[in-house]
Amino acid sequence: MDPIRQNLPVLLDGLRLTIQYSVVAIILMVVIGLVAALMRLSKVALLRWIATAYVEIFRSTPLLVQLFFIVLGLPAILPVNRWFGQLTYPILAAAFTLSLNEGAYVTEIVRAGILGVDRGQKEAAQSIAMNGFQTMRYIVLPQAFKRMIPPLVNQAAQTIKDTSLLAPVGIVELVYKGQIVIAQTFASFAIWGLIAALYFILIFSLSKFSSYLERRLQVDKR
Amino acid sequence: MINVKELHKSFGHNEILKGISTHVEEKEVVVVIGPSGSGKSTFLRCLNGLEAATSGEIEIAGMMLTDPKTNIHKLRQHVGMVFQQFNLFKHLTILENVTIGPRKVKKIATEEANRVARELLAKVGLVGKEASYPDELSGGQQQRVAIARSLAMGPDVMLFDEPTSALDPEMVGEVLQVMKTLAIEGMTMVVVTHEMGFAREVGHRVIFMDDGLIVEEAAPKTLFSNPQRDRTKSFLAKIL
Repeated sequence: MDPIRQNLPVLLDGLRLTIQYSVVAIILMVVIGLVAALMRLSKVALLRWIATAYVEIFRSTPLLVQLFFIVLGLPAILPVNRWFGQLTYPILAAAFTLSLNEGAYVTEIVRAGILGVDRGQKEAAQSIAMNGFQTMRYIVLPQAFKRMIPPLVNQAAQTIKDTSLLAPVGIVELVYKGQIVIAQTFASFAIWGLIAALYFILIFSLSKFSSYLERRLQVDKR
Repeated sequence: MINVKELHKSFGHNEILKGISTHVEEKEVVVVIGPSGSGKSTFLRCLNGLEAATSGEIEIAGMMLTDPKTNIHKLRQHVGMVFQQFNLFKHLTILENVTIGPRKVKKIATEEANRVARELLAKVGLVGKEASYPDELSGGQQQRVAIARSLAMGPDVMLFDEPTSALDPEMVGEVLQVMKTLAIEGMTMVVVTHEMGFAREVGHRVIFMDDGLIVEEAAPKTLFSNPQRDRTKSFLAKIL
């Protein structure tokens, strides 16, 4: 019990950082996913091509490799550390890479959600003289969003777990702090168990919140 | 009000409309009949640009629909459309369904849009349903909301694409009644339907289409009692 009690404040500080990275990545992944999904459904071939290339590249390479490549690889050829600051660059780059990676999956969730809306809804919007933007904004996206909640929550849970991959590229968060604690205490069983429990509490609360949200929006009914 | 010249429409190699020419006067009610696959729905959808004409000219409500410079959204404000499947916005209440066009497209203030919408809902016999959602209404009620939604934009022409085909028989009458009232009030209407009673009673002219062409058009009395073409005769024999 002692190693846990002694090191709990350190781990909770790591948890705070994990939550911060998660919140930033979840917000960014939804924004990126929405933009890329609209690009994939665009009439302009170039936009479709860019968005498709983005999704395929990020889906077909491991997140860990992407993180190493951008956080540690890029500074070898570009003076990014000078541009953003020696300490800031890895943090920015890691958060951004994580968001881009998760955003690739969100793109497909949003795209499927939009395509799942009945074509008649779009035609009815056009028939009352709505333009493309108004049709998307007032008719298609609100209906698509309700269907997207379950897969988006799933993706958010994945994103929280994926923040643990920031540790290997030197970003301080829960796993990073845990490794430091274990190096000092050798209590690997207790500390890894505690770390797992902290992730579990975080993600379990998220899934409870999402069931509440789904009930509020009555996904099946309307 | 509507002028169509040599309208052709193809989907890939499949030619659906093979040269339609006709015109519709202001306040005229034109009923389009014909077997399924004859192109009558496609013809109607071309009239508000839901389908783009392959060739030919369409002039409607004083605008050239087939001119690429025409603002299609501006044009659609003058051309209402009612669909077979109603297509009410499922996530909006009945009142919002009727007001969203005026509010978002015509930028009319919410109070004014609500006032007009309540009048229109009263007109189609749906007082007290403002706060309901579409799936809480019967098919006939939904179709009447769809008519009110179109009317809220203040159209010059109303297009009806088989408005009663998806309804249970006992609900057909209430929708036709609303359409009849509109016709009597002088709305210009083009109605694709299988309701021959409506065509006979309300229509000023009936167009019989088959295989992408207008086979015959005449006043309902003439067309139903004394069809000239064999194709028209055999179609009417099957359905009357």
